[in-house]
Amino acid sequence: MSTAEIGSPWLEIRDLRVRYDAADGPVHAVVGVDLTVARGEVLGVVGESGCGKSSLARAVVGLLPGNAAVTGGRVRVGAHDLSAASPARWRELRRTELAYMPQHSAAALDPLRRVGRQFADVLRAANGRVSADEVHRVSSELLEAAGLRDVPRVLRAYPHELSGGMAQRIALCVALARRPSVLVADEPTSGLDLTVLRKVMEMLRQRCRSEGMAVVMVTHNIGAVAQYCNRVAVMYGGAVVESGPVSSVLGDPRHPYTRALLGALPRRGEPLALLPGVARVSRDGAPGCPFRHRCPVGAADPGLGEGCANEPTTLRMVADDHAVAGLCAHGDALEREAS
Amino acid sequence: MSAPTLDPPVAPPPAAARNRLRWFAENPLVTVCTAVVLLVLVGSFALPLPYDPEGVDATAVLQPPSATHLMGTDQNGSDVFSRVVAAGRTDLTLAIVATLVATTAGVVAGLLASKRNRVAGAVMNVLDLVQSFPLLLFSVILVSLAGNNLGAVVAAIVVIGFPSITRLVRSEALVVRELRYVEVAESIGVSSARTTFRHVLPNVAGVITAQFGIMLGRSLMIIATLAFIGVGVTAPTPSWGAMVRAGANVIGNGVWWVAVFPGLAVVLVMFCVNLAADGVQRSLGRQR
Amino acid sequence: MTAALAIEDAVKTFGGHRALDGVDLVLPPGEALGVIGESGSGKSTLARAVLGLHPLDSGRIRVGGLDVRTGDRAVVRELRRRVSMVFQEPRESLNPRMTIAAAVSEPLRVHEPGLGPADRRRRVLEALDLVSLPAALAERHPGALSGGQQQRVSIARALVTQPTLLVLDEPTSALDLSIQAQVLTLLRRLHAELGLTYVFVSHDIDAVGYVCDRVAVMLHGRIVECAPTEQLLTGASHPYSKELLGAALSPRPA
Repeated sequence: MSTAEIGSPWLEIRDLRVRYDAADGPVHAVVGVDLTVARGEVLGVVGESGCGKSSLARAVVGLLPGNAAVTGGRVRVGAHDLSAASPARWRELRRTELAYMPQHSAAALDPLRRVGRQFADVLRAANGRVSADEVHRVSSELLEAAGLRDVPRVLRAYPHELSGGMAQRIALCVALARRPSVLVADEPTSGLDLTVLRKVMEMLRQRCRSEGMAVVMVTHNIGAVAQYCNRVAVMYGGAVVESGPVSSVLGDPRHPYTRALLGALPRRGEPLALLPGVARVSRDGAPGCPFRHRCPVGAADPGLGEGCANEPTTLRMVADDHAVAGLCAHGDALEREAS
Repeated sequence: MSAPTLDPPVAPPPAAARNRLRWFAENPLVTVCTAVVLLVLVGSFALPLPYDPEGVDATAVLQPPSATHLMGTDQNGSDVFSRVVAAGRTDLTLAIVATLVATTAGVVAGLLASKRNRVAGAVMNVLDLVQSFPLLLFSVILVSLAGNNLGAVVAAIVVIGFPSITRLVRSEALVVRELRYVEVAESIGVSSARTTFRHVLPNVAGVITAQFGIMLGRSLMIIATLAFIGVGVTAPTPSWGAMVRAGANVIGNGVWWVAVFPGLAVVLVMFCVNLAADGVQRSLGRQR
Repeated sequence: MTAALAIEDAVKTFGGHRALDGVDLVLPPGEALGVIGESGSGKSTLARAVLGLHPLDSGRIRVGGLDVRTGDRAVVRELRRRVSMVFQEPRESLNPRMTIAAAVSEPLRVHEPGLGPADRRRRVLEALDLVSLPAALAERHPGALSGGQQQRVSIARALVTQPTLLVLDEPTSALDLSIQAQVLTLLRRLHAELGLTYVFVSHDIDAVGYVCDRVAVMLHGRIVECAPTEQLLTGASHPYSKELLGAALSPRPA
């Protein structure tokens, strides 16, 4: 693929929909998501368990489980529309352009192959013949950048000889080795100690910039997003309820759910925001703000209710590149509540 | 002192009986197969026997199926239908009793062996010792030495069957014992026996159910095999294996009914038992 | 006054690795102590050692004057009644085949076997009420509950025998933020209203800071610093404490 300029939109997701056929009926896990990630940019996708963020990640790399399917929308990488890609085309793209790092990726390493061989495998799958020296050079450089000590020993090791945190970092390095243009990482930092997490994120951000990679990072760690992502998308009930630059969204959250999520971060001496009810999944994929059943703004102003139930999940711009779903884009209800 | 609740209203729990019914509705194969096996079992006890299954009638030897003899007669002039039904009584009862004993022994031994103590080590040593014998051969010899009594058949099946059940229950119980709620029980001070019965056993119950089905199939097979080679249930008591054996001698002469009907009975029951056990196992796999 | 928990020079080795390397700690009744550290610092081992789940190689742990390391079964029982533990994974901490009522009543069956069914039922409902769970949940199985409800059931089970000390090992690490908020709010309320004494072990400095009066920082099986929460958060003195607190990720964008 041609190297587009840093900052130009590279990964484009338009009105993406994913449906699961669960034992007790269909579940609409993703209900019309629009997102764009530029080269050299890290997009953080946050939200709680079951909000659809992992399904979104898997749909982008064409790796949904067997009982799930993309039921609408488009995914583009550069000039390539992936919506109509055949399974063979998907595989080819995943060998070269698209890298995916699943949750608990330490377990994704092949237990029977030494770490060095796993680097060789992905490099050769992507580029054909690659010399052993080249494999060694690329892998050593990545592992050192990820803060792993005694790299020659690590390269000779089998995955079971490594700690979980080490294996997780290695999995990320393996994903980066073939220099993909898009990296989709699902919880790449969960379970890592803070000092290690910082190293990993610094490496990821640095690679992202130097390679012009578009990175989608699914996480529940708001702190990691605040410190290391350029942009953030907040998901609830399969929809993006708010997205934009990290400073704008986290600094000036507009959607009631984003506010509730940030209000649940413990700050000593301040009461925590407690949400009534429980998150629920969409059974019918119908429009309407997915958060309306628990929304404190809606509860305070019943007049909003009908509008929230009919509002499509499309985003509206409230500030430069800062978009909010539905009625809640009009901050007046929120302002009223605040005053 | 209770804080305002954040929880949505609680729906009443689904009735346990309805849950079980739903499980059967979701696993039609298991339901149908279990029903067929039960039908055969009930049938073999409830169906009237038109003739004495052990009766000899020199005037009606090797008659083909007809209105008077639904499945024909054998070399002794006995009614094959009566013998197939009567054989079902013996074979199925033997198989169920043997399976119950083998499963119970296997579950108890497996649970004991899943602990970390000396008893567990002893259980595993006994198991290794037992399994180092060629068990089927041994059971043939033992059953014939014991004068072909049915208790010996049950004992043989138990000895052949319980080691694999023990190993399976042990390996499942070892997994459960590593789970957090078992550690919680330990932290509460729950006794070891109570932990085993309240926490470990219910969580390996599904595997035991599937094993019961598999073992039932194996038991039927062993009984039929033993009878086929002439030990265990022996003439004149009817058994499917012995009947197939007897029929095999004459099948070359175009007399197919003596061997085929008891053969079909064995195949039908084995097939359904195994399919049901498979279905239970697959349903367990889905739950994980 | 006898300390709720007194640990003296606790040492525990796993195959040559010193998980606990001389830990000293005293916890007065009514105090909420946080223990923070990175993976492998020995904080979980310490939590389990207090319960006697990891017997020490040397040193002594006493709970309200009772020595955890004892051969006496009656003392072990009494200890199990006085100290309760809440684990990280709420889903895995509950037997999927037991109803909530059965799970919460289990400590009562063990420690107060004389209790009749009606009294047991009343105590279970009181415990559920304590963690703000509706009584209607009692007959449900854990699978029907949310993660936050499950963790509150674990806490109700831990409190039903009215222990003098609660040990929580990463109780919120596997939970979503909104659910963590429920659990943290509950702990603060129990601490304020009942004077609950607890040890909260976590790698999450923000969560620990939110619910604890005092915080101990662990490194390589030792406590390198133990100070009142405010003091530690604003001016840690040990270099490792400074490093650990400095690595925390602020959710406010730079």
